[in-house]
Amino acid sequence: MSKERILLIIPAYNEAEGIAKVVETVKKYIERSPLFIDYIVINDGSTDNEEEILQSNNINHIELIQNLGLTGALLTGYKYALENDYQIAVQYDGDGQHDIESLKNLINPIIKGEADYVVGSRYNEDSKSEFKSSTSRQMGMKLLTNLIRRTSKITIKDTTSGYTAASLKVIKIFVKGYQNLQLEAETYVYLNKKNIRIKEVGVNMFERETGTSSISSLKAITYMFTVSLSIIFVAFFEKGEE
Amino acid sequence: MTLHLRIVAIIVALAFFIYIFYIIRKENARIGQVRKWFLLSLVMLLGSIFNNVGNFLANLFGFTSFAYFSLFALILTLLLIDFRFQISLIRAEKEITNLVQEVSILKKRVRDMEHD
Repeated sequence: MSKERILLIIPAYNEAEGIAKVVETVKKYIERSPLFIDYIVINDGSTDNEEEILQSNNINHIELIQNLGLTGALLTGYKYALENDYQIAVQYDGDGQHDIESLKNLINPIIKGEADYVVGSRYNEDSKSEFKSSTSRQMGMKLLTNLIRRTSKITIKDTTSGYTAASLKVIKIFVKGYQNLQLEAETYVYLNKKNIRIKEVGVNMFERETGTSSISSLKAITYMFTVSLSIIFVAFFEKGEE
Repeated sequence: MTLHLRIVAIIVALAFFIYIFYIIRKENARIGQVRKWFLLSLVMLLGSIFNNVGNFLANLFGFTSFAYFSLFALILTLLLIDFRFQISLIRAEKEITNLVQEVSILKKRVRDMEHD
């Protein structure tokens, strides 16, 4: 059995409707897993009755006193992981999109020492995921995959997966002041610059049951422009690790 | 610069200069915080009074009139000030995010201790 302490970071903004069900699935998985796994829900200043649901169901959580957005919420989770001696931190969606059964695929490469950062992908050969994104979103992802490959020589197919596992080394990099976790494609290029070994593994995902995506169709163009510019900036100007 | 324009420029610069003084007193602001606006109002005032110096500078930089030169200098200065503000805002945002995270984690710790 692995001795690593693993933390699932579950950011949730206005997910009152589905968060209890998501956590229930996680708890059941933890009970039958031989690994040391904990979870923490980050209530990102929700305006619905999410906090009430979290408290009444006795769900382990941090309530952010103000809405910080996805990066701020995730970084709170990474800070919590570092302060509480976890060696692996996994980003896990609060809307029920990620399949907890795929967790072992994500953490195994870190436990075995094959990678420092693992990205869960719906488009890897070993993924059985039936849920894929819309055609337009897949086109956007292909563009980003190409840009990442050209600037960093790494191949990541699912650039908006959000289902990732980070080793202690990566947790420390994030907590030190990385501010762009919502721009996942940029994160891969940034970590590659820091000599972090990145691996993409197949995972299963479901269609979201509640809430709305953080990348709406209206914001998609702005997102593509921002993330492309960020990738180019990081690839050419970010200081690499010695 | 025509006499008309000079009079208008002096009035505007003077009003701006007085307004900056008023803000410093009313908001109890430190000179350091509004130094750039104070300097800008002073330059505007001096430029409108000592028109010849302005004309000389405009010619030196290849402008056909002092009015064009003033406009160019003013826009450039405002752009620089705006950029500096953007940088301050980014820093403040990072600091606030950090504070919110720390306070929220501490609140959780307190809640856990109360439960135990």
